[in-house]
Amino acid sequence: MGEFVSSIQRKVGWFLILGMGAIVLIILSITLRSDIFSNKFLLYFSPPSAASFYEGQPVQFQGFKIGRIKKMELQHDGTVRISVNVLERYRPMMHQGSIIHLIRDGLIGEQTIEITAGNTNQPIIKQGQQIPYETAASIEQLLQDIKPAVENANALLHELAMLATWLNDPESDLRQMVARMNALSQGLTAENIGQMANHFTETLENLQVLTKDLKDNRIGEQLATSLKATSEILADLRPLSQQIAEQGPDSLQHINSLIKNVDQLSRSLDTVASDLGELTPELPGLARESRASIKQMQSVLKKLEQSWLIGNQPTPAEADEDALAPPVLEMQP
Amino acid sequence: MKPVSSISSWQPLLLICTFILGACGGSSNHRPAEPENPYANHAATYIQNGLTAMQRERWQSAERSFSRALTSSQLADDTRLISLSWYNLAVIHTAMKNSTAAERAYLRVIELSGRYKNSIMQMRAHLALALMHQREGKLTDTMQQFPASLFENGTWPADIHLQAARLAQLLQAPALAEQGYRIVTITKGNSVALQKMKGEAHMGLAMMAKADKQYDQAWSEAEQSLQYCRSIGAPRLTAHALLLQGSLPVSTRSKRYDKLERALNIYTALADKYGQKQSLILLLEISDANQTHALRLRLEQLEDKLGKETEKATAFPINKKDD
Repeated sequence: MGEFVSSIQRKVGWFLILGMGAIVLIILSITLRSDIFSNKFLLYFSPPSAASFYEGQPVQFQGFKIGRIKKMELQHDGTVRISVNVLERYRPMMHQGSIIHLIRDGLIGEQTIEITAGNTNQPIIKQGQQIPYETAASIEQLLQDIKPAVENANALLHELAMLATWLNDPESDLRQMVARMNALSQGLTAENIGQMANHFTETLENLQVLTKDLKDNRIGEQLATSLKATSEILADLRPLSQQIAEQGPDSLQHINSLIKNVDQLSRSLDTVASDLGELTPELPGLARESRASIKQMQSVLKKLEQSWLIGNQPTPAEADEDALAPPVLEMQP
Repeated sequence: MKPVSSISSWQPLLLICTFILGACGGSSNHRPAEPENPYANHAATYIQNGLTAMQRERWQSAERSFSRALTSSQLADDTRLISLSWYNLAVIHTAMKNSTAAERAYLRVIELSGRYKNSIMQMRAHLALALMHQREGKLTDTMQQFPASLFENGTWPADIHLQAARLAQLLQAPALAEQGYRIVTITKGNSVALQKMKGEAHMGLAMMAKADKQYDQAWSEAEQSLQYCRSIGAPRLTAHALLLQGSLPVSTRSKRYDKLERALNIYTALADKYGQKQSLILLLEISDANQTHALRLRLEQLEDKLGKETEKATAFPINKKDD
């Protein structure tokens, strides 16, 4: 009986020893693989915003993971300071002149931090050194993205100014019609009474249609939050009648051109917002706000396009033709 | 008198209505924007960026933008934008003289537009590929292989008529080419792209008129091309039109000299050595004895540079790159 018990005890002992040994081996293997006990050194960097970073975020060197973000602090002066734990064995590969930047492998996916090798003719970076941070988006790329937005904004403002000028021009169709009405009301004849009645009937009918539009589609409410300049232009547009739409093809060109420019500006701002996301939190915020108001303006303009003012008129050019690269013809004589 | 007072009473009513409508615009609630695919928006923006870069002959920048547009279109899974992006990439590769990449992209457009039944895009890519093959001397198609509707008004978009006309011109079918160019010149629209195409169509007509020795007509067509170029800013086409006018024996020597000098200045600004050489040769033909020496010296220097470039290109053909 005693022998049996001691045999069981021996077996249990071996089982426990082997089990614990396996656990120790697994822990050792994991720690060796994850470099928990490897020597590390600290580096610091200060991005303009900590928005794109988090503790434990991997740091890469030439595509290899060599460390992680240890701590993120907001300093007393309002600047951000991020400390990075980097494996000591990679230190000889990093020299003075190294920079830290955010990279993204494709158009989508998580951003990772990369540290560059620096100038190999310079000494190796030191423990606790501050490494300069640079934005991943190149200046050229940012300029390329911002430029169309600025150009579109300029074109848009130009179009708005042109439309305002046209509306206020004493020679414009609107002014001429108002003047004609004034003249008619002072010296009416049997012939022009009918003409006048027609004008006003049409005008009132159109105004009723527009009022209904405003009530049903809450265009008026949207106007208030749209860009100030546009609201003013749209306020000027309201009293226009179908008569003017028929007589003034200029207005259609202006509206079509406006719609096109608003579309372009909206799209450009979208890209600018995403590309500038890592620079400062304020800039893309502004871009987003502008875009939201532009979206409302787009909606209003489209409603106007479909309403009595310019209904049944030619639509802007097909989107495809605006987005096509011009053919390469090589016309050199 | 009764009708007068009746009609006059409408005016305050109109004013009241206007005020009511004005007041409606003052409230502050707003409806949320409709959802939209951000990748489609990105693609459209990259396409516009590419077109802007292309207009300024920044080929690599345009290529990068069109390439990003293609990726965004694929992420948006928008088959129309995917075909469009492949076509734009093909055009930019053509402009960069990367004919292998261009051909691959054109064939991709032809395949995709065939699959999605987009006959316009298919014809566009087919013509562009034929034009590229013609320039490289490996075109196997003839004009008979293209539909006659390419030279009939209002059948296709203007860029397709223009490409068909240029191809017909290069394949020695002047009657068809003229029909095609004329269709482009009468196409209605105000877009910058269309203005440029009209300028190119007039340039094509000017070149054909010059080949027929109808110098007055050639001058007039080139002048119309110049008008479009000046309104939209197309310096290379401007230089071509000025060069053509300078080569026509219809104007005074001083007028031709002026045209050629202006063409030379534009080619110099564009670093187009072949254009400079052509301008200098024509300038030498009509210049005074006291101007000849400086022009000849400049031409020799230019030929030296061109010779060296040709040698370099022959020795290291892999490095040959346009712009």
